[in-house]
Amino acid sequence: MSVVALLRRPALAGQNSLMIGLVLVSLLALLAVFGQWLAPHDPDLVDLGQRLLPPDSSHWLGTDHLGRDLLSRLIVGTQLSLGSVMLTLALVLLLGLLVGGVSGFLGGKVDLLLMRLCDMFMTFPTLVLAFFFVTLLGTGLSNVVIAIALSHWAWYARMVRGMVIAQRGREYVLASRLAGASRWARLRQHVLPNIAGPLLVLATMDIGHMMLHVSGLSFLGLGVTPPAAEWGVMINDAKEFIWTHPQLLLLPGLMIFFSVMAFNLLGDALRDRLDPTREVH
Amino acid sequence: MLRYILLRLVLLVPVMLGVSLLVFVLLHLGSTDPALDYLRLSHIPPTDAAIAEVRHALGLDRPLYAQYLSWLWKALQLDFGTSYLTGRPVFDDLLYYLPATLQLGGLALACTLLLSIPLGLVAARWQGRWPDHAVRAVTFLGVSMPNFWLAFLLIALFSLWLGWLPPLGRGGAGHLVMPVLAIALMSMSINARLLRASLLEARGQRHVTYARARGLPARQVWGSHVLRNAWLPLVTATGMHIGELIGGALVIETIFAWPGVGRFAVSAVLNRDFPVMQCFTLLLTGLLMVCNLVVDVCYAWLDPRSRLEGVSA
Amino acid sequence: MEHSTLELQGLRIEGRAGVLVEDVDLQLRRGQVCALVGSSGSGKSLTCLGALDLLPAGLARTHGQLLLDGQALPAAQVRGRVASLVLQNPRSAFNPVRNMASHAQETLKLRGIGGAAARARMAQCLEAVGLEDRERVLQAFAFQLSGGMLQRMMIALALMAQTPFLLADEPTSDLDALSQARFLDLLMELVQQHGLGVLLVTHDMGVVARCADHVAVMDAGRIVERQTVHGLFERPASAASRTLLDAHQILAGSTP
Repeated sequence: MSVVALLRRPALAGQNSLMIGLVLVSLLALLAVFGQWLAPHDPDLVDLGQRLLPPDSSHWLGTDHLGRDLLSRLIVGTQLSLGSVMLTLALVLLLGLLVGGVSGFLGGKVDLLLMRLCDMFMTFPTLVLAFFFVTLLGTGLSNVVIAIALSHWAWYARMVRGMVIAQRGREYVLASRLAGASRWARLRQHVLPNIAGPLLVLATMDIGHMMLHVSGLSFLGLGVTPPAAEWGVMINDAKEFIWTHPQLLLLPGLMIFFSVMAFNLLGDALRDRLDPTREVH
Repeated sequence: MLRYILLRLVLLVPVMLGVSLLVFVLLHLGSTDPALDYLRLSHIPPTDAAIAEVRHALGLDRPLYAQYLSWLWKALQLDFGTSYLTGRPVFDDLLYYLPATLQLGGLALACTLLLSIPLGLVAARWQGRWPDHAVRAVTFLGVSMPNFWLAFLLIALFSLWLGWLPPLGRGGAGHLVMPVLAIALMSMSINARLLRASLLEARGQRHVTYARARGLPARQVWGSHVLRNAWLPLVTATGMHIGELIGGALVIETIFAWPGVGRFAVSAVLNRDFPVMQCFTLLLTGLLMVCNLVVDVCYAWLDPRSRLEGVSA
Repeated sequence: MEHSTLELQGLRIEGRAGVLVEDVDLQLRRGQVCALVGSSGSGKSLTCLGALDLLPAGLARTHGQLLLDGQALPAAQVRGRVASLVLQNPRSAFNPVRNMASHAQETLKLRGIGGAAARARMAQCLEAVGLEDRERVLQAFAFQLSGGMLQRMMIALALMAQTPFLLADEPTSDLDALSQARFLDLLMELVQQHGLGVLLVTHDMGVVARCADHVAVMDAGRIVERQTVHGLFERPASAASRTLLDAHQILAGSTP
């Protein structure tokens, strides 16, 4: 079922959560895109004379240990967090479609080999894999994105492979009747629209998870590094101030929590829509 | 059954070899020169002469396969080299720190299972009514919460504000509560949701209708036919949980100054301490594979379909 | 004979789409087979499940009661004690992770039979239904046995439960012709020898001709005709029964 058909379904029980999820995610997207202009101050402007101020009229949420406006940093952090997750997702989808498509399409030894590879990657928990790749590639956002993508792609590859195989079965029936149209064209025509729906659901449910990994790695100092205004980094910076200025730590975490919840809500609602006959969710 | 276990154990060997080779090759073909890293961590200025000397000392001037084979030979004798950073044998250090991590991971797993089961049961039993909604709300929050943030929240609440629990270090039971909770919350939420879904699906199966039709009392139907079948997806999920819990432990340890493998590994990553990373990756891989094996064996024991070479009549 | 009639009165089943079965009355007598026929979607299977209040989620029995010898009885007391059920697609009726013996044991335990007596009774019932190689069957799981054997196992369980009545929901639809014939032979033997009272739900008029004493015809959730089997075949009164008979003739050749 195509994505468009998915969204046009008549109102069901879960429509509220779908609406709320979409609204929240759109808000986040807006913050990410327009954050720089919405932020009242320059998020990177260090002013040691203004460090660790409580909330006041100029700095609505106060300042951090380097005098930077907390609110601005939180807003700009949306860009980093959402941006990095979207990059990761793009990479995961690319790898998944490529490997899954090739594996399902070619079959045989190639399929066997690629699926063994998938299994291997599926065994490693994300963090262990990320540790390894960051050792290899160094710290920094792009490397963390690669590391997380490498630990998630296998699930997508398997799903794509399954759908391609199912489609191939149907293909042979068609092929006997319609000689001429290239297999690639038909694969594009039939498989991709059918895949889009389930992939969308899987991806939306996964985004929250990926976001937690990105901020977790940045928190450890393995991903985005200071002075970047990433929420995980901000929490790490604020560790020592937990006694005196807990908001420096709690608010970035709240942003992570809120964002992940928005995506999870959307993901849950989309999954319910995709399979409403299942009463279980 | 025994044959199945033995077969799986035997298969472990080539996989471990393959992973060790892959890890080795990747590390040595990586973007940096291990010799430079070594010199940097030993605080020796990287002159050309020093680099050449170190390269020879570390055997980095030999062909790659020779390096791998000599590494493998030593590894089989449990000698994984010495850390570039500390100069101490890697294996000894890792083994020293591992129990603390396993303690956290193990307790978190127990916590996950013990807490998620009643939650999932309650939610499925009273589906659609307030206990179900409560469980779903709680698990939804649990799945969305960053574990390191939760750890700080717990510290703020229980150490700073209430003063009930010590915020740092390893010691008695009081030191375990917060780290374990922080690690376990997400897996517990996932597991509770999974159990709920599994129970609801099992309940709708035809064999449950037939059991009721035979006059079996509700409790027996629930116990023998719904629960008994609903466990299966959970067993498979446990393997995944173990991986996530270990990952969680790695992060949480740094917050609570827990003397485990996590902090050790993080510093190794930041300092590109290759011997440590190599051993760490292999050790964890081996551990996870053994855990997966145990999980698969449990699954095979619970589900006769997967272990019997089913020959139909 | 004790417990000679089982009646279903005023059955009404509703779902999200509306009323699916309405105002259905059925009478079962011991030693007789009552066939419930209709085309697909007429509500026959739902009636069978609804009688015992075993409807799946999304459907509800809003009206109806069971009467044993004229006395009203809640469905929970009828299940497994007064009436047994035999389902279509037997493989899904058994718990896939438990073997036949465990199914038998739990059925017998309800009757208070355990241990050696239970094993003896199991052997007896399996023999009665013609399942040879008892040990292998008892140790087997559902996926290891054929459809025909599983169907017999369901009858064996009904015998173990010692219920005077049997509700059979399209029991032969998934079987090949030979298994079908054997199963029906077994059914008739039990009816004649043990005085079993059977409700046989089917869309196959050949089965009706062979086994039934009375027939109730269902169409769109209601009973539209009630006759003896001879009466139905000779003088079908409703359009629904005529359609069924015509289809049967096309498939089977001449009228019986």
